[in-house]
Amino acid sequence: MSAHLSWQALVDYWADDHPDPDAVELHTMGCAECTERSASVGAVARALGKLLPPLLTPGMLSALQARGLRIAQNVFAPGDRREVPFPVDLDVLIHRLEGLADDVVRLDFKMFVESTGAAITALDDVPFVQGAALLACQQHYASLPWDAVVELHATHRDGRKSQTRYTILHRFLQA
Amino acid sequence: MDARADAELVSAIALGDRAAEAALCARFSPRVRLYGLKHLRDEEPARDLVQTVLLGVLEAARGGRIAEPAQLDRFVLGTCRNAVARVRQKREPLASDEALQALSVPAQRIELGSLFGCVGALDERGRTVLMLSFVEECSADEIGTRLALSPGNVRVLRHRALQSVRRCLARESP
Repeated sequence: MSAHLSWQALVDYWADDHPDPDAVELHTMGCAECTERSASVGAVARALGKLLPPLLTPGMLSALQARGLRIAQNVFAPGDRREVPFPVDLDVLIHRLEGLADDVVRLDFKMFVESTGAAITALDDVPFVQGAALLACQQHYASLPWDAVVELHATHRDGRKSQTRYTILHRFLQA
Repeated sequence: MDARADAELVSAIALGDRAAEAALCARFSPRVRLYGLKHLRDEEPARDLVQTVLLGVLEAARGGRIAEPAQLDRFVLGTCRNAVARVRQKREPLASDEALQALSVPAQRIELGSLFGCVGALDERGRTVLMLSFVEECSADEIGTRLALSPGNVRVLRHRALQSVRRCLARESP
């Protein structure tokens, strides 16, 4: 591999999906230009790795834990309305939204601002674990309104629908 | 910037040329840091890796122990791999050197709020492929199975999505 590395090769490398990562590393160790281009791709890739979807699967949570991220969890029962501090030294705060019945087969998610009713986001068919949904919060969410209401719309095995609501008042702590 | 080839730097270091040592460090610091970011995943251990590796390479060069000076890049890469392996196997701390601490490589900082917005602007498939690739760390094969796409299609989607995000970030940055 003597020619400069392509964008595609660098993206595959940073996605741990290149067929010959050793060759990529040997090339970048000997090429200043490719080092710079790889660093540029890597910066975005690494930042993406810190950007989580709102609802986590158990696999995602395990992957985050394996990476050594600073994670805390707190539990919300249906109907809870509570202020939750987000310490400055925490990477991810997981809100475990409990109260899902064992026969839930599909979950849709809505989040809106308590004070105004404005929609924040809505996602269909989101992942959940037995009895709960794992809502991930990160520091950059501090830019969103602090008073978030989450509604989980569940579809049960027999086709009936149900809904649970949780009000999360985020308080992002300063250093 | 010192334009001497790697082999010339190695030979000069063996003769006590301090400028050659500085040039070697300046040349390889970004490359070692990049290796550290990939394998150790964070800035601080990557910085420590730079110091450990450069210390080892300089000592080898001073002692005339780099057998093939023209392949200095291979020697540095091998030193990186060994250092990372020692960290992983024995949790052995990386070395520190005051003189090398001053050698800093500027980090490319990406503001997560901007990234959040740029990812949100992608279409759903591109966003999903990026999240599965870099958050869940799924391979193209695994993603293809989940999304009913060929691995080749997944890679193309990933390349384009990351390119879109990079362009979006460039527009967002001051």
